Amino acid sequence: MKVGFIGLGTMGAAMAANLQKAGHELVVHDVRREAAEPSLAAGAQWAQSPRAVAEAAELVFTSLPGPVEVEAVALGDDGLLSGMRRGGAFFDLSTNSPTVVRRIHAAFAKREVYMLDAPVSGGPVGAKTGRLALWIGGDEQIFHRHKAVLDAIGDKVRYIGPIGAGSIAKLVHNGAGYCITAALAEMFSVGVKAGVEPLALFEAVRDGALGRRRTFDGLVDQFLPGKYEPAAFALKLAHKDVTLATQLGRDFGVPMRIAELALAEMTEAMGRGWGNRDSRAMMLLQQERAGVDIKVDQKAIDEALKRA
Amino acid sequence: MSGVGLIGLGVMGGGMAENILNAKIPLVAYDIDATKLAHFASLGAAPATSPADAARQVPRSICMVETTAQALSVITGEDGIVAGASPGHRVACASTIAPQAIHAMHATLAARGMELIDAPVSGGGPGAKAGTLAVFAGGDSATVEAFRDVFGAVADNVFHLGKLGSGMAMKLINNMLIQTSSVAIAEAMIMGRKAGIDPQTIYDVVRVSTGYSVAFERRVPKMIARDFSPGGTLDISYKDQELQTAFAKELGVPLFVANVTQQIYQMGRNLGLGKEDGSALIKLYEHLAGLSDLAPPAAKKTEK
Repeated sequence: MKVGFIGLGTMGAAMAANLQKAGHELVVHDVRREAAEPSLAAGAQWAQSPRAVAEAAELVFTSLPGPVEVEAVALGDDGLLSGMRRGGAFFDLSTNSPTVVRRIHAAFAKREVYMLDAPVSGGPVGAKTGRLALWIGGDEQIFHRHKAVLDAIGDKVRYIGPIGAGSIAKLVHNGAGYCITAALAEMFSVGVKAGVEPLALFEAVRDGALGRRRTFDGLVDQFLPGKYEPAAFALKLAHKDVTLATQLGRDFGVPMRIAELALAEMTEAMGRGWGNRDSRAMMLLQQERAGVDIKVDQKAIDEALKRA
Repeated sequence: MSGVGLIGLGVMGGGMAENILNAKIPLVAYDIDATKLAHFASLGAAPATSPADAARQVPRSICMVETTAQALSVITGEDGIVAGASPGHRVACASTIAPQAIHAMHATLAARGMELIDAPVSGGGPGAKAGTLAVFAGGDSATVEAFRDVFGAVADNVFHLGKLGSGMAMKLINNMLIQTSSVAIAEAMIMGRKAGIDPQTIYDVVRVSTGYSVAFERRVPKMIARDFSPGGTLDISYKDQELQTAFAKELGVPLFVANVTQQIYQMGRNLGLGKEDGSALIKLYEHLAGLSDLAPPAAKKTEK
């Protein structure tokens, strides 16, 4: 079975190379033919257009800059849709908009072609080494049918849910990551200006409660099970700590927009009378605003942790 | 007519002093700056050697200094009003300071049979000079009445808002609106400029549309004229916002906008705009939007 691959940039070329290493025969296309040279040298077949790729393969991957490019390749003139066979599958590895993904999915479904979103996380290094997460949204049976091929691209291939779910997971991941990055810039800038050496600060916080765990691990104790009592760390104490942290910004003339918003959030939670609940109870406020109620069965959480 | 003591002859106090003298109310004045004191002595004020000395000569005093620390020193400090005043003396604190400090000073004065009201003013330097301020009074009614003639000389509007501290609360509310609005206005103006609309056109259109406000009228013509001479500086706005956000914290009110705008004033101060008018926020936003480079020399060095 031939595998189509469109978009051979930094990420795409590395993923295509790993597919080839795993023994898959590729048909490739890129708007810049030069970009395809390494794949072609490793035995891939060149196709003139996305349509030509679709005509030659039953399974097609795209790895493109964003929604505009994916939509053009999928639905445009000489696009994938015009060439794919009934029952074929198209996995989009790009970081895409879930709305666009669903629109493309619907257009493909009309022609009985499967479209799944499969954004990746791991960066250029991960794409090269295969230490890459793939988050798949769409038809679960089709996912399983092609799981072996997906495993050649990344070591953490996971089905997330219906079409768009993979893209949503990716946006949550990257959005959270950069919010944290901005917060770290703020807190470290004030820490350094207040007089602590950057490396000493790094070593210190890395040994702290937060530093010892992986970024998302903290969600397991309160947020996921929706259990904010008894307090592991009381909100009123956390509120005092963040008040002191923002005071440091005042004392050293460092603007702290993010910390101020976090503190306002905590003040709102205090106003609810949650001072003695766990500090993470503040996370309930945003759930209210969003109209969601997160409460995962403890057994299911334990099983997920075992799987990890 | 009984005389009044006035401590603090800066932009606000100076304007008020002129109008008190114009109203023929006997004025005993004090300022740590001897030049200012001499100037008002030449206009007819009796110069005092300290707040205590001023309070010794009159039955009522006004404190018009800049910060909470200064007000505490002027009213209840060693050479403060309380050290010279007799029982029955009345004090109006016209400075914008922390409401908590008002309550603390009131307790000190009450223990000696003296009264204190909070009476911050709104209207800025121009309002002080023109005698068109608004007074936001809080506290004892008889004391507010005892200052009626003085307030009448410096202000068009005198509001007695209720219990002690409510004048200060009112002042913080009003300032919060103009200070948060000023940031929003700078954001809007820079967005308009990036969209290719002439600032003067934005001004002309907004002036007759729903986005108009007093803050807009105060800030935008200065932004367009590139006139950043201080009415209210970024430093003062930052200090005021600190009072607002601290007060809200005490009340347990989450302020999402004011807390962030305070930090934006801090960003402006760090770019050297602290002593410029609030309209200089436009310079901060020009910098943020990549239309100019205000980065401090140290930061520029590392770029290259």
